Amino acid sequence: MLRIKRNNPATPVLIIAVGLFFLHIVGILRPVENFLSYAIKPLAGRFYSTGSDIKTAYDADSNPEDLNAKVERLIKEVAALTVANSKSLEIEEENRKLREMTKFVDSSRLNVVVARVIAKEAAAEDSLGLVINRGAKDGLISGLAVVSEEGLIVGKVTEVKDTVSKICLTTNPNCQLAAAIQNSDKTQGITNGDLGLTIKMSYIPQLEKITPGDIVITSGLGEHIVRGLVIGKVSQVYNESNEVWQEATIEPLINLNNLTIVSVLIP
Amino acid sequence: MVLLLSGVAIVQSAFIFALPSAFSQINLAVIVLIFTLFFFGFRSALYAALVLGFWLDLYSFYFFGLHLIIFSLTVILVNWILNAWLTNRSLYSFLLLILMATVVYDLTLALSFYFSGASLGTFFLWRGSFWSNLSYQVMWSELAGLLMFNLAGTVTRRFQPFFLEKK
Repeated sequence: MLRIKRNNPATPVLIIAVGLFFLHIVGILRPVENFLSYAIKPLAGRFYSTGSDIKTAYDADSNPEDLNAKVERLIKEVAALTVANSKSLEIEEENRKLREMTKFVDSSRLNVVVARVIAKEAAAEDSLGLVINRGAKDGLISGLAVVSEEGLIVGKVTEVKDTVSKICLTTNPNCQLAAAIQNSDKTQGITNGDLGLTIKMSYIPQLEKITPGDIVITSGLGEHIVRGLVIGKVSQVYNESNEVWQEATIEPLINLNNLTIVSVLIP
Repeated sequence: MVLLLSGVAIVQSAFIFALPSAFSQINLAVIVLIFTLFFFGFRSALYAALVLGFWLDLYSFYFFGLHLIIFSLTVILVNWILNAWLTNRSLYSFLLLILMATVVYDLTLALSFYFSGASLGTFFLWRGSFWSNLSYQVMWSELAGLLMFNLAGTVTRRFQPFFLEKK
């Protein structure tokens, strides 16, 4: 028979731990958890911003200053121009369709919830998640698109608690998006992250023509994610003649490691 | 004490993880646990594991209790090492305990991710990134341990080394 020693220091801790676990499962602990996570959100957000600022400054110092600043500015300009170009291409395409269709659906009519990144989750190294300060109480549900300040899709909501949510980044292997390439074939496929650095687009039919530099957007086939959000730019194409599908590597247009403010799009 | 530990948990999840990759490997929670075990004993370390685990589980989207279990397990194992293997409470013992705790924490966390399906692809032990992250963690933890031990040495004489002299 299992006997618990009365003087064992682990006993009360074990009892408290089991008690906490039980109260969490039953849901009694939920108001306390919500209160605590709500109460520390501002502090956590400030800590995260400070950490992120240090990271940005450190990254800038690692390289020659002027060159790095210039590259950073150019990346932002390219991202903004790509979004503008992509939007105009989409608008052009939409206009063409509008002439054909009598029913018009305004795809940009979205509710936007601005959120602050408050923590990074201690997670498996290849599936890093960010925690944002908005949750189910703000209308968030799993699967919604998360965009950066520039309007680029950076990930999606994966799990939701009452006051906080977890988002996965597009470079995360667990983060899948239905994607389309803005080429003549309107190629469609699935994207997911590759080693937390780049994005891989797979299930692309062999006969479709893709070239490096093509812009990849969301296809709108995924639940809760509208069409036309820019994912990145094709950097490499892997085309083996004996394979059914071809693959492409996509580079995000912004650095996803320095996100502090994001927007969640509710269709 | 609870407030201090809560602060450590917030700093760990909100601040340290946001730092540049090499610095983001600092495992403040584990260092504080070992410090508590070394300076305040097993019972206090277990309570510290409870508080730190609760706070980290609050912001975690894995099952509730994951950090609580891992921290408690780390404290229990390291306490056993301290009692069974180490004969004194010197700086070397302290640094060895931090090393062991970091390894135990990383291995149990990676194992739980592996078995829960959160980690995809190659088994974590065959990945270079796992070992490089662990190396960074050990390096930072040892440096922090060295600093904390010396700071504690200036505040209290409890862990000053002593020598037996022949008369």
